[in-house]
Formats: sequence, structure tokens, C-alpha cells
Amino acid sequence: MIGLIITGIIAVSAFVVIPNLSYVNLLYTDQQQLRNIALDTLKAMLLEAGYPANWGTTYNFDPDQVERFGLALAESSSFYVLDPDKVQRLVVGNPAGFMEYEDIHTELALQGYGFNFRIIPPFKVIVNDVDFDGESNPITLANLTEGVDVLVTYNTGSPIPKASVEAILLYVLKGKDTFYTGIEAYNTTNALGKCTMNPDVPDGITDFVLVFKVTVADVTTITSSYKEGFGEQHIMNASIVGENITLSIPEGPGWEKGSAGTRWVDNVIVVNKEGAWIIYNGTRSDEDKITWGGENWIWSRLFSSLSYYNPLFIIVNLSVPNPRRLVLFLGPDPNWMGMRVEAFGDPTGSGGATSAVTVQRDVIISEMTYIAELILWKESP
Amino acid sequence: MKISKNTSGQMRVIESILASFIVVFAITFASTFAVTPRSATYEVGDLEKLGHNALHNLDEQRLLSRFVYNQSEWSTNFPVALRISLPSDVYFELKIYDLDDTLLNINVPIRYGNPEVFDDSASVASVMYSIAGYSRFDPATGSQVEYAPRTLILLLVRG
Repeated sequence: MIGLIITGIIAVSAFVVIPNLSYVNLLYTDQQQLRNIALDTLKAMLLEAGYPANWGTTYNFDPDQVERFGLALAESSSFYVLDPDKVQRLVVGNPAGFMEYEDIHTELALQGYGFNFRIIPPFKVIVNDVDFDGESNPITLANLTEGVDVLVTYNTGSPIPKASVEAILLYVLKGKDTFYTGIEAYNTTNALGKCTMNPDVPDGITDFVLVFKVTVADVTTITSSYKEGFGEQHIMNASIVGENITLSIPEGPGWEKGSAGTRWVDNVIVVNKEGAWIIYNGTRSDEDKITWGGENWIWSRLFSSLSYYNPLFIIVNLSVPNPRRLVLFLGPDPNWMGMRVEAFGDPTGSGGATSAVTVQRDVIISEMTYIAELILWKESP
Repeated sequence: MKISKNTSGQMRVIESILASFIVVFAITFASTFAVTPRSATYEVGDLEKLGHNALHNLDEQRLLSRFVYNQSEWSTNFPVALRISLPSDVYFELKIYDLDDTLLNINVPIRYGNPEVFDDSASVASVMYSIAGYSRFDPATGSQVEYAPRTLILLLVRG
């Protein structure tokens, strides 16, 4: 009888313990496999230049012509230096062409796995967080006059004190036919990672863009913000590919109503690590015209030696109709926010997956440091 | 009362118990050899790559030498630069040695995380990175400063 009880206890324990042990081990093994695949995938993405080696810079971009995928800058002798043209091909909606998730999924041989990829700044710069959601908001003229609040944090959310913040104001004035730049403000974040920027604001501003250069331990990130009030109009479809800048009227909120009428490209300003540089002054000729539909719906120019500027993003001074006025536009998306790829991957996300792994590497793009992050998960069969 | 003398099944019961013990023991023993993602071998390899990459990138940006040779940076910019270069769940401690293996930052720890995490964790990665040093003009003495190679030891632990 005692023997039977002992045998029963052992049997029941075995039924409980053994499957648990096996399950835990299987789970660990599964996670390990997932992590290995994620590391290998990230390595392939960041260290390989792909084929053709300059696949991101080709005009009339055709994703089918990319025989092997990789984001590394072919001319670089250092590791983890990425080609900005290739990176921009991961921005869905890029008017100069982009790669679809499925194409890269196939190129990387990730059948059975889902992934999400992003390239973000090494730390967060949050501008005018009026709703305390940890996200930047456009700035009102009142904010600009009273002072614009800036919060600098690690990507985990903890504040960074003693970060050096520099703001450059670019603006247009009522009744004036040009844009102005050069009003700068400097400050340093306090123990809570906060500071207020107070540039001298001239009277009669109708539109403005604020460019923020934030330096933490000599690692710099550059982001920008714009005047609230024009909605999505402030972001224009733009791309920088090699020496070429392309602009087009985006579809979406803010554009339908005022889509009729001519827009004139008056100035193009390139922002890089060193500051803002005017590289083009328009003449209001047909060459600088953008209209809704027709042959002028896209504006494209070749700027020799543009790549030597290492452009991060551009600001376009555009004359827009209804009523006729100057408006400053930022692009390409999401570069003007200080990041390179906001989210590229499976739109369904890893919600249904039992486990997902995240791997990161710091990378260099246009002489700036970013964090490349890959989230990989096993898709349900 | 009559006690049954039929004991022919008792040996079977004892055999079953022993067999069960052997099976459970075998599985438990085998599972200890499984290489899991949290095993020391796996973790250390990944952390070593991360650490080397972070130091290499700072070196590429010409920041590493400046941080190492300026003691005033050890408690300010150096730990912050490493913190933004490494994933948020990685704790680190950096030690700077000279050619005589003397620990130079003994009084100024360059660290993120509680010191105990390095003692308590079974998976501490260690990355060695050398800086050849550089020659520069010292206006105070009016002479060239000697090359002074430094060895950096970066310890990493996942939190």
C-alpha cells in the first residue's frame, strides 16, 4: 500500500515536473534560436552593403533590382556606418521609392518570422510636451514668445542633466517676401533634464521652424519643430537621394482644400551637424512651380556635392496659395524629427507571438550616432 | 487476524519506484546541460560584441581618447556617452589601466548600475580595448607629452 502511494506521488510529480522542465527548456531553446537569428539578421542588415553596392542611390528606384539587401555604406572602411540613401528606402511613402516589408523579409530569408526595424536617436529630445505624453508637439507663437520647453531623456525615459541645447529659429514675416534665419538660443538641461529656450522673437512672424541641436557627452542629435496651425501641411513629401532633392505635394489632411493653385519653391535650406545652409534660391519660374496634378506635381533638382554636406533634413520656403503667403516646410519624414526609420516592419506587430526578442547596435549615419533596433518574433504557423 | 503472506508484487513496486527516480533524475541532470539564452556562454558573447562596438564607435568619433585622457570627463561625459551607446538594460563598469597595469580610475568609478550586480551576476562580459595614446603639445611645460597607451576593461552585465 505504502509502495503504491509513493509510486503514485512520484508518477504525479513526474507528470507535473517533467513537462515543465521540458517546456521551460524548449522555451529557452526557442528564445535562444530567436535571439541568434535576430543578431545574425541585424548583422547582415548593418554590415552588408548589399548588391548592387549603391542600390539606394539609383534613380528610378526599382526594389526588384536589389539582388542582396544591406544598409552599410559601401565606401566606408569602418563597421556600422550606414548609407543614408539606403536607409531612406526603408521609409514607407518615400516619394523617391522604397522597399516593401515583404521584399526585405524575403531577401533576409526570414520565412516564419516577423520583424520590426527602426533607427532612432541615441537619446530623446522632447519639445513642447504640453500633454505630458512623452512626445513632441508643434509650437504655438505664444510658446515661442514665452519660451519653448525642451526635455532630454535617455531612451528609457530617465532625464539627462547638463545636456547642451541650441535652437536656431527660421521664420517668415507678414508682408515680407523672404525668410529669415539666425536667431539662436542656448541653454543647458537641469537635473530633471529640462530647459526652456527663449530666442528673441521679432514682431510679425507668420510661420517658423525651430531647429534643435542637442549634445550629450559630445554625442549630438538634431531635431526640429514647427508652428502649430497648418496641420499636416507643414510636412512635405521630400526625399534626399545622393545629390538629388525631390519635393511633391502629399496627399492627406491639410492639402485637399488648398490643393488648387501654384506653389513656388523659393528657398531650400539643408540642415546638417554644423547648422543650416541655404543651397537654393528659386526664381518663381516654371522650373520652381509645384501644382496639384499635371507635370509640375513633383519638383526635383540635382545639387552637385550635396552629399558632402551630409544633409540630415531640409527646410523648404514655399509660397503657397489661398491666401498667398510663405510657409516653411520640413522633410523628409522622419529625418526632421531626429530619427531615420520610425517603424519598418510587419504592420500586425508581434502581438500574436509568444515571445519576441529585441537587439540593438549603435550606428553612424551622416556623421551622426543613431541606435538601430530590431525586434524579431516567430510567426504563428 | 490473518496477515497475507502474498508478497510477490512488492518487488515490482520497488522496481517502479527506482525506475521513476532514475527517469526523473536523468531528465533533471540532462536539463542542466541545456544552453539557454540566460546561460553565461550565450550572454557573455552578445555583451562582448555590444561593448566592443560601443567603444569602437566612440573611438571612431574621436571621443574615446578625449574621455580617457581627461580625468574631468570620467565622472561626467564618459559614463553618459557609454550609457547612450549601450542598450538601456545593460549595466557597465569601465576600468582604465596604464602600461604598468595600474588602475587609474580607482577613485572615480565609471559605472552605470549598482556595483553588486557585477558580483551577483553569473554572466559578466569583459571587453578589453587599447588606446595607443597620442602626442600633443603641453603649453604648461612647453614640451611634447609622451605617448601614454591605456588599456580599457569594460565589464558588462544585463539587468
